[in-house]
Amino acid sequence: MVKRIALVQLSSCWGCDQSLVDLHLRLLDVLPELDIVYWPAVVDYKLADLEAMPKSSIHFGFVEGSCRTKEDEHLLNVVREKSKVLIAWGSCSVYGGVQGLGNQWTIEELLDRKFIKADTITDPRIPEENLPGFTNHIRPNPAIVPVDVILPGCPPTSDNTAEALTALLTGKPYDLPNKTVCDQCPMERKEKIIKKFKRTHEGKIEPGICILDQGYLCLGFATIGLCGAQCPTVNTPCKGCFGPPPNIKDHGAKIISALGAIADMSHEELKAAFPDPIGSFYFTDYASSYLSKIRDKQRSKAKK
Amino acid sequence: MRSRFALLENLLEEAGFEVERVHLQWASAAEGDVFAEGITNMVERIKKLGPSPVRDGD
Repeated sequence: MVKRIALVQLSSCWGCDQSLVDLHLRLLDVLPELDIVYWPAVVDYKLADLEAMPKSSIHFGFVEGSCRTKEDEHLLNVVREKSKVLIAWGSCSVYGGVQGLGNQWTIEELLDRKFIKADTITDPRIPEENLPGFTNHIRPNPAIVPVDVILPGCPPTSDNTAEALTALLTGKPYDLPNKTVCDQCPMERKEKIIKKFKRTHEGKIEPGICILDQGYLCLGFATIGLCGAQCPTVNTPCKGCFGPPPNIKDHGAKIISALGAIADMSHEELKAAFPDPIGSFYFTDYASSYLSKIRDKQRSKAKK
Repeated sequence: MRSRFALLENLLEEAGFEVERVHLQWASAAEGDVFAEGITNMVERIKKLGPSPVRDGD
């Protein structure tokens, strides 16, 4: 039976779609099994088309992006209602994404910085007319509506999405692995004793040797192994964009715990090495961290 | 442990929390006085800060 599929984009870069389209000719393996009923990134559908569909009439609803606007929230609720199986697709959808880093500030501070104080602005005003309005903070989609399957990644690789889609089509369960990027990484590892952390522009990363051993913050040890260690394989430190494996509750806490054990540095040096700990330790998943959730609660309370 | 705590303090501060509310102390079973002093100091500090803005209830 051909399955009806909707692919929905909320606030995001739409890179997950790019990654799916990168399947190229292999798309032909899955496309005959699918009836695309909504996919504004590729086909001209309007929100009204989705709203007009009966409840639970879509087999698989893939949601990419997070809710930065009130329209995103509306779209998420609509696709939840229309889908039998809802898939949080990509790190924005699963964890809130890079835009979740905005949760360090209130929405008023963000709007002020972006629309009033930005250096290049000559006519400062906050746009409001004909716009849906912003959400107060970024919450991961699974905190807003029930989600059946999660597939993180920034973006999930073409293979990740193909694998999840194939599992869904054949009715097999799709579970995330408890392995890390390090498990997939070909670099040679030795004992880790780090005297100094370097930024990526300092010095030169030696090929073939563990990047963390060389003193660069490579987060493979705390990041789910789904990507095939794409970045470390080409001498680029892992930024942790796929988020942690399922057995780790808080990405940043895990990273701190590991760094504390391998750094042979004074506390002052260690603090100075990470001037932006939130950006460094929660690149795409700050909105799903305990710290961000507690902070949001505090702000919502203060507003009442 | 100290290194982890230093990083944790850094993270809490960046996230907008009052670092003074967190306290790390070692005290062996034979150091009741050290333990008691640590707790007393922390309680005094927290009392000065007042209720946490993030606490549940009321």
